[in-house]
Amino acid sequence: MTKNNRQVADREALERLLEIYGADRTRWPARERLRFASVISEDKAASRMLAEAEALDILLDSASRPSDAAVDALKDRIMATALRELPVEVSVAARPSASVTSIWARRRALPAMAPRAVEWPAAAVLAASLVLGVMLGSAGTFDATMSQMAQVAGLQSAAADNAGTVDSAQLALGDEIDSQYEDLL
Amino acid sequence: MGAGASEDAALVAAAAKGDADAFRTLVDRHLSSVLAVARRMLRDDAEAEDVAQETLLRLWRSADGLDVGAMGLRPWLRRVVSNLCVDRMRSGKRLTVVEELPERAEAATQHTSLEAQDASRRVDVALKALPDRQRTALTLFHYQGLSQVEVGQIMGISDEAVESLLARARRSLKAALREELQELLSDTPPE
Repeated sequence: MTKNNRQVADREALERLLEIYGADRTRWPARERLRFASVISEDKAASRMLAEAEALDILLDSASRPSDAAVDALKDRIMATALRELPVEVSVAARPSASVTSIWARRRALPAMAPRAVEWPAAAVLAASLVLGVMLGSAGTFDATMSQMAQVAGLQSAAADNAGTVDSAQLALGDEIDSQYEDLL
Repeated sequence: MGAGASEDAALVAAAAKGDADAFRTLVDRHLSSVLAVARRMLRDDAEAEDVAQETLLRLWRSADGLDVGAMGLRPWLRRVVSNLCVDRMRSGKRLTVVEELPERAEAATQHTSLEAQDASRRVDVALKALPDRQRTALTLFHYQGLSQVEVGQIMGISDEAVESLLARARRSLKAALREELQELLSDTPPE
């Protein structure tokens, strides 16, 4: 191959290389980088081809970017959607599984603890009733005093509100358990 | 792992626990580049915003199991947004339809009508005039810095097909931006 023919072949190969990879030589395959280093430095036409490819890369890099206002509005939309999904997907699925398990284990354990927790106030109320009943019965003022005693113990309103199945002590403890749930969550 | 990658990893871990502030920081960091990819691959800004939003929301939903590599979150986001764009173009049969358009369609007339405007807008027009596959290959290779192999994997085509798309894209752009190129070259002092 004559020098002239080789030069033509090199230029054609360089043109193809520049069309594929652009002027940034770090993007070229290593073998091509080596091959064309001397070609570009020795052949002015090759050097000119590289300059044209560089100019095209500069133009491509000048392509416009989205406006700040458009990006900010999109950010707000993304955050609004993400926060809407938070209780359903992220709080259960995306949290570490160990902590989710422990929360649910504690939540399951709470109802079992509740009956034992309400035993002592109920027993105290019953004991007080017994003592007062004996005293008031012996004094002959049972009916009137019984009503006052029920108000003091809070049983009357609880009975009225809950058809006599739940006493006020249980309701108070129920609130406490609910607040524990809220803390856990 | 670099500082940026470490910060990404910490923010993703916090987002996985439902930390909205951490997620907001990730959105601040990465949305612009995600949106830029989507805008260049899809020619419709509204569609690009939809894809960018879906990409970031996928990050939020899957943060729990996400393994942030040494390069940070950017490669994962780039892969997701590119795949979403390609899926959209395929589902709308845009790849096939646009492929039938001539390579240099309308570039000259569009260019003439936009002469008075700034160079970046003219480049936008030229990029939008490219067929979808050429623009996708160029976006992934030039703007996102992916390798030829990675571009081929995302687009589901061979290395040779990627080379062909890149070469045709650059040829079309050179023709469409001929005047701008001449201006730039005339500004460059001779060696």
